[in-house]
Amino acid sequence: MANSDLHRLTIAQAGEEIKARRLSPVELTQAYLDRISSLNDHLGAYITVTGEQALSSARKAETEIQSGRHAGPLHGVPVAVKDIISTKGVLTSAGSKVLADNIPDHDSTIIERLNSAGAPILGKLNLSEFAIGGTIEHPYGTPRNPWNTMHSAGGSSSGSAVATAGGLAAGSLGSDTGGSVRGPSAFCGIVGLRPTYGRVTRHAVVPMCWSMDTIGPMTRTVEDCALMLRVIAGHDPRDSSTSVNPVPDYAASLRNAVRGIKVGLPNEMFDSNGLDPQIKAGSEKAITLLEELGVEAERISLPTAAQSGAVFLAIADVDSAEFHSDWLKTRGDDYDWSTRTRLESATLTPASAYIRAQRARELIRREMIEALDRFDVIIMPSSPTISPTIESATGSPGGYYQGRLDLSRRRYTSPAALAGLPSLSVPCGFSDEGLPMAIQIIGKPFAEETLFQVGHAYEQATDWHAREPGV
Amino acid sequence: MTDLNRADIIEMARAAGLELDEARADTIASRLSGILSELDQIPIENMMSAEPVQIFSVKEASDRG
Repeated sequence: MANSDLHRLTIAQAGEEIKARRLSPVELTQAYLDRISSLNDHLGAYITVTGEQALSSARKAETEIQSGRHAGPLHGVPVAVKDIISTKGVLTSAGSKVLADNIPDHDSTIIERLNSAGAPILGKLNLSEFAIGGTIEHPYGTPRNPWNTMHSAGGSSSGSAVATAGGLAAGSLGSDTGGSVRGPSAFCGIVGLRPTYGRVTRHAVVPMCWSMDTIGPMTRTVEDCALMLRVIAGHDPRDSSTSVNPVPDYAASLRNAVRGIKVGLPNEMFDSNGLDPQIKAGSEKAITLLEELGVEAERISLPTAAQSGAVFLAIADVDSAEFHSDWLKTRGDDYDWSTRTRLESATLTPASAYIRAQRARELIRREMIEALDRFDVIIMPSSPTISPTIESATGSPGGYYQGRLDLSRRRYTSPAALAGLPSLSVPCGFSDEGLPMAIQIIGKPFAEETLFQVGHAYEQATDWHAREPGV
Repeated sequence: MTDLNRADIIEMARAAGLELDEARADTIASRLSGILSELDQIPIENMMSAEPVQIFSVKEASDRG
């Protein structure tokens, strides 16, 4: 395979080649760095490229593997992380001017786990400011959708989606508080997982909302997602929210058949006026295909989920505003207009509304858990809209992140976030304009294996994952 | 309190120690009114059956999973 084609290998494929010593981790890392060098100015995926560190890690991996010490499927496979994950000695900006000088003196646990797995880290990825969607002017460049660079890559893990979809990393990590992994994954045609709350450590990660923040893999295939999750999941004494549940071999679940799996399809998501007809058709086609594979699908109702967007914003934004309260007063002008306005809006949310939203959160959580007592998974579109243009995808008045449109689209990603449930976004086709569409598969707490099982079965019955953007 | 206007927001902001220009005050009034109005659509009788969740319980999730 020519060096210029190495970025086409999935993590699983590259890992196998490296293990068999047919592919050099140094060669693979250099191929990605060359691609970043030629494409990043246009795509805006990376804020910081850590080329020397990545090559050094790749050389170490090569030596270890040549000495018979193979650490697993990510050994020598280059990945990248969202720039809210602290990296020792490397800028961790959270996509904001406010943290333009933030050079942490320690690594987050996530970075330590990637290092232990032997994965070279190519750099720090662009995002919506502070992982809050709707940034109007990205201080470190505008992330562009590789399928059409006039269109948005979504938010907030935009750089993670662009890097993975555009072949600027074999896989990446993003964060999902209320949809920030699933939205960009859907817009950019890749697989993205919001893990169960507590499955993955958030130690030394810049927070947005303590009770909903999660870190998840963003990859080109479901198998790659399973491989990355296994590396980053597990209890961390430095994050009290993490679970002591054992971490399964997620990739092993991919071989299981889906026959007999029960699927709930929420009326409130499939019959909503705000759902793009092309996404509705694509999602229903995906369900039909899954039924042909043996799943048993049935319509269900999640009545409170229709208001979940407002419930999410009333809780998550208020939590976030508390974290930013001092900076808002002292460094307000360093924030993007949209981020600042959203945080100030949250600051002024009445306490009664916050408590009311917490009550509603409990209702939504009950609805979701009760539905999952009857069904193995819930499936719905990942996003009700296809990627808008960059110009319209902002938090400026009338933009994609304002008003009723914002509340209506958030109903798709908020229920899993509010209930702490895992959700896997998987591509389900392309619009007439050639932009990706996706479904999300939501499961019981800590049942990521079932999501991978269903997602992989669907993926293998389609060829969406085999298509590449023309960048 | 779901139809907040610019004057309401500027007054609330002053009490919170925030300085807002008119454009931001208008955007905030619209945004906050939208959120409060959506919350109002959840039937109060349903809401009263639920105690406010402060944080998702991992232990309960583990037990169920």
